[in-house]
Amino acid sequence: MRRATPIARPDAGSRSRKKSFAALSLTVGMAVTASVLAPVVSASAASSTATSAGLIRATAVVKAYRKPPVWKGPSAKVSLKGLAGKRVVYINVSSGIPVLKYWSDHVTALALKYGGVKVEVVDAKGSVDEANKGFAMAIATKADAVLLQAFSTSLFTKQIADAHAAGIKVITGNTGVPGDVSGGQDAEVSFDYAQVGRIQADWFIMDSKGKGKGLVVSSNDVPASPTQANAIVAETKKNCPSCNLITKDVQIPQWQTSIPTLFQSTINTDPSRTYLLPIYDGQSLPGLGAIRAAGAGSKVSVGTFNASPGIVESLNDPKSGLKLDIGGNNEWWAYAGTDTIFRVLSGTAPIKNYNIGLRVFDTSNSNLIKGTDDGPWYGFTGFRGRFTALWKK
Amino acid sequence: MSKIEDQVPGDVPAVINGSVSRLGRLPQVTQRLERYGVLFAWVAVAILFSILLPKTFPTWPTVRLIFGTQTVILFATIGLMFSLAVGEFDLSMGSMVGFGGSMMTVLNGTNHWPVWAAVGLTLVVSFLFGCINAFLSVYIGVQSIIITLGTGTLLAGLSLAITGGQVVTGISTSLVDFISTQFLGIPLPFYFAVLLTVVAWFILQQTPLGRRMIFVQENREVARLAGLKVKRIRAGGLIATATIAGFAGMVLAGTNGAANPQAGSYYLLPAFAAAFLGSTAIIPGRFNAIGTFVAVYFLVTGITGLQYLGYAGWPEQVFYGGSLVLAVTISHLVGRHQIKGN
Repeated sequence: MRRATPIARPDAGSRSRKKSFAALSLTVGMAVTASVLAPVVSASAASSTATSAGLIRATAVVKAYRKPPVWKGPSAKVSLKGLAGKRVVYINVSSGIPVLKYWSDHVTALALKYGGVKVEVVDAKGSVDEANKGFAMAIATKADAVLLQAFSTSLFTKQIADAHAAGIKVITGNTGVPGDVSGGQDAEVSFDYAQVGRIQADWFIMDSKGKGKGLVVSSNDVPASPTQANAIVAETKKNCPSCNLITKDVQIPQWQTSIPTLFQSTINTDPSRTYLLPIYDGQSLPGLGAIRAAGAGSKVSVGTFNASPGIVESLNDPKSGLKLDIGGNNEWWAYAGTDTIFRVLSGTAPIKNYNIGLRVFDTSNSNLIKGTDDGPWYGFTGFRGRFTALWKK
Repeated sequence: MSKIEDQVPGDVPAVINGSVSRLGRLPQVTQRLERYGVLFAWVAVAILFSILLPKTFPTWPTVRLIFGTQTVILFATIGLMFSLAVGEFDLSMGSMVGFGGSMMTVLNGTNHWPVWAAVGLTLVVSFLFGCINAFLSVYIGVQSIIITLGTGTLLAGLSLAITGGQVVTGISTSLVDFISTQFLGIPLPFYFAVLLTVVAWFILQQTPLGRRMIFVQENREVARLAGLKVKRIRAGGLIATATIAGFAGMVLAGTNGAANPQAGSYYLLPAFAAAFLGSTAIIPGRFNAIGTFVAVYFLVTGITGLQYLGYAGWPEQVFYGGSLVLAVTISHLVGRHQIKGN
């Protein structure tokens, strides 16, 4: 009888070695995985923490700006003695743009009323050549100052130098950064466009609860546009690392024809990118029509700036998609512009930043938008008395 | 002498007083290529972007986007085509778009006129401005390109005047809702624009009036000697352009829910570009409705595809301008080749 071949059985030592090897492999694997994932988890945790903290900061900013603005303007007085009869040539990039016409009209009236200063408005109709003619006119007629509104100073380096050579002071308006005189001008009076961009970003972060994906639409033919657009991106990076923004530039001549398709194509290509952040509400207007036509008002959120009468009312139309329209008090700017003229003409040091009033108008306070006069919407008119108190006769 | 329309068969007149249609002597393939080139380009662009963006471009939302967002350009271009078809240039068309929207909104939104009255009066005023353009250009004799440059500037100023230089709103919700109403996911104005395109095609290609218009555009003096009422035909073209432009402005304002007095001017160049591009298609060498429709949506499709790919701003202008230059140049070269061949 043949003996059965004994089945080889692993010996205990071999089993033990295999178990050890398995345990070691598992440990090493876990260590490797942990070391790979740890930075990711750590980053994610850090990102989550950062986003939470950023969300709190962003929310606080938006809530603060929902309230009426407060005075944070200058306290240094300026003497108006000897200013009566002086002349300012005010070169407007385009008097066809409503807010620019508003500013020139109000500055003209205020300068004459309080200082006896005559302001002559030149409508450049968007043309650098026409603006150059304004400079030439100022030099030929021996004006006392030029106010160049919403033009980039890089286009007028020679003209600014020529004006200075003729003894004419140069003020610029709304080139982007308050008090930025790097273009050789004597003063710059501007909304704080960077702050506007930060508020837009903070609203985006708050409204999306730190998870938003959005499109920023700049208009870099407007000098202040890069400042505002860059601020939106930077603030979002700071306060919401997990948010996602892309930026596109659509210039003024293309607002009407390109914005509708841009808005809809953004939503079509990425339905999760639901925040549309054009930097001006005039830029957003054709897009709001497209959103309404597409029936997408409840799916997208448009956040923008200017609170232009005629456009900001769309906050009360859910079909339009408009959820935020930051307002800059235009009458306040006109007073600040007039104050700058007085300071420059009198040789008083100009003010770097007037902290011109901004207010968030969104769906929570859209009931404030009534009538066509935007003055009452801001809930603060004290700037008028504050400025006139600075002007000593 | 038999009337011209008796001698002119079909939709492509082979002979008009001795001048031979360009298509008549080209090889069949070249004829088809010239005739349908822009249409082929449209299809090619659509296929290209569908390949590049298979998940997003060839979808129903894209179709809705293309046909739903650029209706005002189609209205404006079809309207412009009527004056171009009789050899006139109406540079006031863009300002008329802005004025039409502004006037309707001021009447209905600010002054609370009923919708029908605001729309009706705006159409009448648009018609009257067309009459002014026609009278000064056709009957007084100043070139239309000069007169309409002036009336366009005047209209732009009037738009600012009646709106106070601001965006005006308050349009009746019934009108805004009506314009936003969709059929098959596309807003109603698109279908009205298609209807206008069909009407324009019928007039230009299927009626004696259309043939007279072609004749006037080809050779005004010969047409006059042939007994056609040239002045009336030219005047009609300018009046049609102004009236349709005013209507386009009302569609724009209704779509936006507000009127921007400056909005119209931005439609002038795109409308001219699309009209000239359209004249190289379907009936090459002639401004025609179907060619215009194809041209507008070829351009919109290309720009939409570029936006889907992440391009906005200058690439669109390059595409717009480049397409026009290429199409018109090729069409001209083909035509010159045919003439040399004769």
